[in-house]
Amino acid sequence: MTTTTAEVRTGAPPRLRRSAAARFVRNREALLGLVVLIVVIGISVLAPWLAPYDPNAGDPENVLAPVGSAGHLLGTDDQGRDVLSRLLHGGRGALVVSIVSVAVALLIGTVLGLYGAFAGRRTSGVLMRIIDLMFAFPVILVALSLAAVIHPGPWVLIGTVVFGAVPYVTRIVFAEARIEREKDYVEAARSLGASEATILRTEVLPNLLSSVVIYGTSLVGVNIVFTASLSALGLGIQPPSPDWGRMISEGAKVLVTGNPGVATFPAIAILLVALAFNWLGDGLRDVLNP
Amino acid sequence: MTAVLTVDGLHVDFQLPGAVVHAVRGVDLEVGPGEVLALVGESGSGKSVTAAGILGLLPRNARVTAGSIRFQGTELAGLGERQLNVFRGAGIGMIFQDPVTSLDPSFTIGSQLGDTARLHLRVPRNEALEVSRAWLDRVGIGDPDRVLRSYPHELSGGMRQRVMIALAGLSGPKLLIADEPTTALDATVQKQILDLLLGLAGEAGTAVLLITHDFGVVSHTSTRVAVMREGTIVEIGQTAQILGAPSHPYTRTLIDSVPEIGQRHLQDGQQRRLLGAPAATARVRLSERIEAPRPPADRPILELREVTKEFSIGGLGTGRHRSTVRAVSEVSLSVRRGEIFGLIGESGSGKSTLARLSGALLPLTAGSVTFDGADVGTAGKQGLRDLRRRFQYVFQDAATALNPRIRVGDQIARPLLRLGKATGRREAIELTHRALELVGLNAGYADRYPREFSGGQRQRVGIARAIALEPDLLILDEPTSALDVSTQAAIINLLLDLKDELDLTYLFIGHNLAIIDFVCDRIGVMRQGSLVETFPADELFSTDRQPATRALLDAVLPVRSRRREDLLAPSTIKD
Amino acid sequence: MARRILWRLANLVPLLFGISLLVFFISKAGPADPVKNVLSEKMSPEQIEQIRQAYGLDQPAWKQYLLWLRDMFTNGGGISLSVRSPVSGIVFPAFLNTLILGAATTVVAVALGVLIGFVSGIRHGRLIDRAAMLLVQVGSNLPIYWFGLIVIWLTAVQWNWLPPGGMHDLRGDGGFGDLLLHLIAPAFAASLVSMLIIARFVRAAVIESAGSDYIRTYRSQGFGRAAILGKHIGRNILPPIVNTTGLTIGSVITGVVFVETIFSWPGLGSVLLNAIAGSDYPVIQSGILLVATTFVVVNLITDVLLDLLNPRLRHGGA
Repeated sequence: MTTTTAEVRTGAPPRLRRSAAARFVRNREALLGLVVLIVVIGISVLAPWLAPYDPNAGDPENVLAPVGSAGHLLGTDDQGRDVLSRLLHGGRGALVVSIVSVAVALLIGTVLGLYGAFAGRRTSGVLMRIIDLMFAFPVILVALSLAAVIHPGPWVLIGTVVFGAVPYVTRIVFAEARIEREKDYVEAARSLGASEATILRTEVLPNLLSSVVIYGTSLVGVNIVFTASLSALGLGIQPPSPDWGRMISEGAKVLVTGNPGVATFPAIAILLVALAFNWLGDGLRDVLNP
Repeated sequence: MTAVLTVDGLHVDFQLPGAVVHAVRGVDLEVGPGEVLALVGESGSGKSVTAAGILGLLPRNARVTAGSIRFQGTELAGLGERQLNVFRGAGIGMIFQDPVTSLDPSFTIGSQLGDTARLHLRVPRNEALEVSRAWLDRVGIGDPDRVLRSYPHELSGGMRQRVMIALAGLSGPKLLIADEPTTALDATVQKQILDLLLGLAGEAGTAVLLITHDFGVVSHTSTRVAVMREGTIVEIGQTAQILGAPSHPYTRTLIDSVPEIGQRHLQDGQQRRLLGAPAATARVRLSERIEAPRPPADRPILELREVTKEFSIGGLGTGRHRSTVRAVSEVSLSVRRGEIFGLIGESGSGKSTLARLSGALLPLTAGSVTFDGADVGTAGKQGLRDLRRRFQYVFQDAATALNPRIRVGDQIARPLLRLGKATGRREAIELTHRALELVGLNAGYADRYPREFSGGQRQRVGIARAIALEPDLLILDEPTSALDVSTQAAIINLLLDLKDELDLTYLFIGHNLAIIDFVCDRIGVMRQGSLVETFPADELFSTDRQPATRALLDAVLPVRSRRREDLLAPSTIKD
Repeated sequence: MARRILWRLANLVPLLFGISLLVFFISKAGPADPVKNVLSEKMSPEQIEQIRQAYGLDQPAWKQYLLWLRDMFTNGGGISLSVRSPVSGIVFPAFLNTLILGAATTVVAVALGVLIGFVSGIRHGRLIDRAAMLLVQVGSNLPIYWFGLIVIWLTAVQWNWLPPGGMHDLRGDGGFGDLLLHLIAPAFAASLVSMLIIARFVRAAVIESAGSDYIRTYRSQGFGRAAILGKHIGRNILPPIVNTTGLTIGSVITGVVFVETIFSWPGLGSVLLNAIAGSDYPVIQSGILLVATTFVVVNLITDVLLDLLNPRLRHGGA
């Protein structure tokens, strides 16, 4: 590498900092989060091959088999469907919906936040007032309205999550961009002939990206939990598709009297995935913001 | 006479993730009754940690690991909060650096002083208010009744520090610890506050431990001084003796690094450099200079005519009435080619705004700016590009003036390409390396991030970024005020070297008159947005200076005023 | 100050207008003609047209909006499409029930959230803080639906302390004590998300305040821990508490809607879910408008409270 030879030639003192990858690996929580996510995503992709049964095929002869029964490791639900197979399939919708809608929200939120931070006082004031209201607005109303307009389904979830996540991202980007805007390097770039667009793109944005990525990661986790509850309520992914949230509400009926695993295993899966996203986000914070 | 405070072999450790930092390692101090002891050192020397350690006010991750702290014979080291509270306030009072954050923003001054009076003097509420009013009067506050009803944010910094002094003095402590009490204040306020502090301490016979980084403050206030470096005391003794003939080389370097008002005359005939730092920088040319016939020196390179800038605040939605604030008001001045023009003023005087207006970083409200004969306001795209290349800035705080996410090499190289100084990537890198070497940095540092540099190195990078473009005019906006004195001296010497080397013109903005006087050829004084007067630096002491200038001059606390007197009898200092 | 409150009140007008417009368009943007649901195959085109006219569906959009708005104010939302009874009779009682549960949820969320946040804030870095933060992390990632089930299972089935759901005991006297007993479990379950958000913010505020320069000033003056905690930290974390509570109103409402179905609470959430299933737009619209208006009013109250708590505005400013 040319840089290393240059350092040797000019005798620059060695650098003391560890690389980002090394710091990430040292962070046990982050690593755990990443491993869990890789496993979960792998399972979701490979579910059709991994699952022992068709997740929707009910076996009327074998209803509410307990955990550990022969052939059904996690038992069956009230329609005799294999809980394990449904569990393996159940994360697909939630993961795709959460990741896609958070990505969309990150994009919109970053643009809005940057715009708000660098626009004039009046525009920025109005924009952030609206964002503040959206921030506190009960997202359940958005879900209900959307469900009324378009029928309950994944699009309701996506719309709701985007609506709920945009104000979060916008506020974070806005707050950080406001801080960055006041720093002298922006003024310095201006004095060095950079246009406003160049300043935003090459000077300010690199300083915000890490926060956006960190919050985005945590937001995916939060919204996996949230979309599961919406699906449980019947606003999201529709039966008979196997879905963790839906499984919880279906299992509610048999929680006490039948197989408690029907509702509990998907709840644990949701908790684990959400925690994994949180851990990953926290780990990224340490790595990206040294 | 027994000492009020005796510190013996004090050690303080900070527990950081993965490391233990020994911030204070074996400090011995003694403060006698009524004595003023100054503890002086650069940032990170452990002076503030020592002060906080005495009262048990260390941050959560720090603790005293060894040593003893005896206050009037009682051992304080190792005492719990409850036991320490017996001595806090009543025995030892403390004044902190930042009067803005050191008062609770949610309570009135009257409530905060009253609480203290009730706690320490055990008086009922109405009497506590009387005591508070009397103390506000003693600390020189003209309308105590209004101030008692005020919240901290309604008072100026100087007023708040007076309130802090009242708060600490009210309980009648035997020892007052003042941690950089005037660092956050303007120079003209600094002297008033110090004199107030010393006056009150003198009246009550209170011993004072004054923590500072400023040798002017040391010289003005203390009877004895202890010099601290990296957690240990390198030298302690009578102030006059140490300032006059420091025995430790570190102390000497520190004192030599401080520019003294009027010192420029002492060095006449030779190159003007500060002694505290090595002057030698790498002599490298950026590019071959064609010795073009220089334009006549008296032609101004920068000319401001009636420059005015107004900012509007408040308005719809803020709950305040819309109003405009005049930051800069009808300023006219001209900077000649090849000179160093100094612009001095207190915080809020509009000097930095003026600097930004000059380079078209902010739009003017009224007036005009001409750079080398061309109007800056009406410059087209090409004209503005040319202006940007020839007109550069160095900012106060290099920690924020450099983009933390971009390698310093790129931060220097990108503008070179953008402004057409370099035609290709290779040439830009070449120029970047030369610029780094010119400011005394290794070219290999180009691929590092700003956080990998020290404060002084970062300021060097900031200078390299500006001079790589080979500008004609450099605006230096408080380029050294965020730095320690020894680093400051090195940067000032570097700037003076570069000016000779590269034929630069400087507009040097500052608040420290001694530095401005040392560095600049001509001086302009700003006050409340207006330019009060301009004059050659040599005429600073002339009798026809304006009152605003005189006020700045009176506020200077000279380091060596005693030293010169002492030098008359050199035999007494040698040991 | 008064000027600021007036400004905030003036802000409500465009906001409420915007919300009403959005709610109005819920029916317009719907996939099907809402009248279709109440029609039967046997009706003649004339009959259909009659019904359309009765509901004002033949008018231009802006006129329909004004008619609808008039309906909202004078007729209490018009006639339900599925039940054929006045919407107000369906929506208002349910809304009151939701309001009761929402208020109880807010009380629980603030009380427990502040408690958790304050305790772990002053014990920052200690065992209890770390345990509390683990609890917060796990809690905020629990699906609230499942959490509600577990609360019922524990309180009603396992320990038999509390009723398993509903609002009143059918055999009881229906008094206030009975209502309170029925409120505990659903309010606790619904408060989960907002409680943990409040706990996090309060903890951060306590840590920030405890590490501030002014607290150091009071410590240097020898003030006791109780005085510092109670007076100075206590006062300075009030604005963040109010602010966060205001921000979590949305989470409270969301939590309540989730919990209502689990606890068979006869609230607006269940009414709305049924209305959505039956495309009963007048009910959906009135319900959403009511909740949104409540939210806007609560938001206004927190804003004004915050202004009152800010010495910069209360004193001298403006």
